[in-house]
Amino acid sequence: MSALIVGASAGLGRALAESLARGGHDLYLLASDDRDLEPLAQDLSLRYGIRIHYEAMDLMNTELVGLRERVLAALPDLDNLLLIAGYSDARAVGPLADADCLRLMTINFVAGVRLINLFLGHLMARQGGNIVGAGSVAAARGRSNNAVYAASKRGLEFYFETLRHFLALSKSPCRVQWYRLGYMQTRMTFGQKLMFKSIAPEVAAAAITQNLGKDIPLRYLPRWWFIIMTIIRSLPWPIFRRLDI
Amino acid sequence: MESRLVSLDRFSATEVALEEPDRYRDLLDRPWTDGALIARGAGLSYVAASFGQDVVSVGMRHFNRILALDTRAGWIEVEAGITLGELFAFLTPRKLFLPVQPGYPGITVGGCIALNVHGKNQFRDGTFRSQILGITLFHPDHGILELSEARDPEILELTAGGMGLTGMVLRVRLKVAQLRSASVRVRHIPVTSLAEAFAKVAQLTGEYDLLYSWNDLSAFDRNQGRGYVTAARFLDEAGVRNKTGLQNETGIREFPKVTGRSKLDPCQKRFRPNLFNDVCMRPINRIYHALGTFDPRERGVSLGQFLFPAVGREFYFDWFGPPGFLETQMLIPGERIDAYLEDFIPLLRNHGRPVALTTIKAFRGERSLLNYDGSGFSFTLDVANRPENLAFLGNLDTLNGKFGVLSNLAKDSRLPVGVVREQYGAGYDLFRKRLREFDPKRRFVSSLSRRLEL
Ligand SMILES: Cc1cc2nc3c(=O)[nH]c(=O)nc-3n(C[C@H](O)[C@H](O)[C@H](O)COP(=O)(O)OP(=O)(O)OC[C@H]3O[C@@H](n4cnc5c(N)ncnc54)[C@H](O)[C@@H]3O)c2cc1C
Ligand SMILES: NC(=O)c1ccc[n+]([C@@H]2O[C@H](COP(=O)([O-])OP(=O)(O)OC[C@H]3O[C@@H](n4cnc5c(N)ncnc54)[C@H](OP(=O)(O)O)[C@@H]3O)[C@@H](O)[C@H]2O)c1
Repeated sequence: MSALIVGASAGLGRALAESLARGGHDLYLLASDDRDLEPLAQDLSLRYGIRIHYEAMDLMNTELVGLRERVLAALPDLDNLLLIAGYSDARAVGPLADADCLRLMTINFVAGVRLINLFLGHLMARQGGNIVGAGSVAAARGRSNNAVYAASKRGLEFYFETLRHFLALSKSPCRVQWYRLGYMQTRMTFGQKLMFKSIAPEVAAAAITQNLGKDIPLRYLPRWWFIIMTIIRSLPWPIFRRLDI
Repeated sequence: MESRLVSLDRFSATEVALEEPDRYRDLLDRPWTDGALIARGAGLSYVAASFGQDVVSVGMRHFNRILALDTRAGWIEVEAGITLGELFAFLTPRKLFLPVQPGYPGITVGGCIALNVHGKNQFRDGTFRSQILGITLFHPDHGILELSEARDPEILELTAGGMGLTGMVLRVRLKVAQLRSASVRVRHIPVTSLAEAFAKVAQLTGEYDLLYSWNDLSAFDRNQGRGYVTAARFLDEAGVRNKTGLQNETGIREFPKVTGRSKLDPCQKRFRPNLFNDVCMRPINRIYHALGTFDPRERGVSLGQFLFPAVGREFYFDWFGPPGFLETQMLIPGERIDAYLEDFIPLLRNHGRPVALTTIKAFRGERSLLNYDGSGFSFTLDVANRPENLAFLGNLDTLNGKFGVLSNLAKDSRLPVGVVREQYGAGYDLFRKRLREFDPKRRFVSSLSRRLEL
């Protein structure tokens, strides 16, 4: 068992690295700063005795040259791709500066699509392969706040939907799992007043790890977000347009 | 994030800005303003050591990884935000342990370094600083410093026991010892008075590995000071199997789950019944004494349970009610115990209010700077936070001055700077001077450092 975790250095990605390592997965960790990846790799290999590799790579880079080769050289039996990296800017209301727009779209959508494409050929053939995506409840209904982030997440969600269909048609054993995540206690929400309860990233990580191997087109995590988002989604426009949420 | 931080004794509370970086970029590359900073571990200190008015508290809990282990040479390298419980869970199955650790698994290694804490065996193994081989320190004006006996030993000395005032400890290399077994054989040896407890602790230091007493100073009858000495020995594996009757060989699996933090977190708002009032404190102590002395036979206890006795008993801290409590911890020179008790007991009787908790530990070490270290006996009292008790502690300060006693700065939230200057003398002046030489801008500040005029 092995996994490539994109966005492994903090928050949910780090919690997933820990939970997969505990389960005996060999890991390839990716994030932008090796000052975080190196200690994490040392810790997980000492505690769980797994094979672990890491690479500092900024997802804003246009070049992905050699990544596939490096990952597969390290983990030839790679069977899980977890696209966890995300970036959100709570101040992002209204029209954004072009650079901010590009950053939100690249990290939350473009990089995801490109990384899937890079590893899809390999994963399609893997018995027990999984592609996992971290979406957001923010993408359940378009609203004025956090628009580019939500739209990018929704874009990637859509790509996962197409992917699932493609894998089904190709009769591939590879599975996809897409999560619309609710609030987690990570840097993304640190210091913010939240409308609903947040969960520890370790709780989300445990659920995601347990669900590997399942076919999950879309699932709220925690699941009670389904009720909240169903209510929000079903609010008639004359009411919704007045809500600043 | 605006947060209300509270000391464990609930004597001090301040609204502060709390930061919790979770990656090095946010800690090291950040243009920290010229404002005051202080590192924060688990926030479980009795005193306001990790926060202060207009000071940014920098939570280190995300920096909690194990970096390297050399079993042959006997050291482990960790990030300073790791808790003792996490470390214990890692080391014990590898038949290793940290010889010196305080009594709660939620405490971080950074907190142990900064307050140079002790355990239950300092008469053998010293205080926490004795197991430090090297420290990686970050100070915004100095960058990253590698400290060891060979490199900047003075800054190392200033940092271990330096109350977080030299900067943020990122990493530390600690000595680890071979663990003979993860269980200890424990005896409760009854004593009938405080004087007997001191004498018993002194007598048993040669025989046992871990030692402390519990005494009842809540009653003012002829039983005052009665209690028991808890004495423990490590066993070899065979001993564990044959003599203690434990279900498993090592007792590792018996170790309670290390979550602790929320149960003890003084910042958490929750119902705190005021049970340690003058009426209830006596019967509570009587019951506790009866439970402790009920069975004098030796029994096997897992090391985790023994080292971290407060696990599962967190309610103790809540039972002082919303006003909280005060702890005072005093290192009394061994040769002066009898004379000290001659003055202490009348002082307490005059005061006439119950003490909630009293413990004695043996110490052997050297005094230096502001460390709570030296040779003698550590004598700890917990009292409810009430004006009469504050007055009593003030009188105790005067008594302590007479006997060359050292008060633990990390435990007593009301200790006045005058008393500290008098008790620590040259150590106080040297610490202050060296700190200013190292950090002329005095960037790291807390309520504690302000009270102590550091
Ligand atoms: C139940 C219980 C039992 C205890 N038993 C004992 C005992 O037996 N012996 C004993 O000596 N003490 C004991 N203590 C006290 C405890 O060991 C100390 O208060 C310890 O410092 C708490 O660590 P913390 O992680 O909560 O640190 P905090 O309270 O968050 O901070 C304490 C100090 O450490 C500094 N600090 C924390 N992390 C860093 C870092 N990374 N870099 C630089 N500075 C840092 C802070 O600035 C502050 O000055 C006990 C406490 C409790 C709650
Ligand atoms: N937290 C929430 O409440 C919440 C709610 C809904 C959805 N989500 C989604 O859940 C996922 C995880 O969230 P989180 O809170 O755990 O996030 P986080 O704590 O901010 O961590 C994000 C991870 O992505 C990496 N990353 C970000 N930008 C990168 C870049 N340009 N290049 C390489 N790596 C990059 C980060 O590493 P570096 O910083 O080292 O680059 C980090 O490892 C995200 O997709 C997020 O959108 C979160």
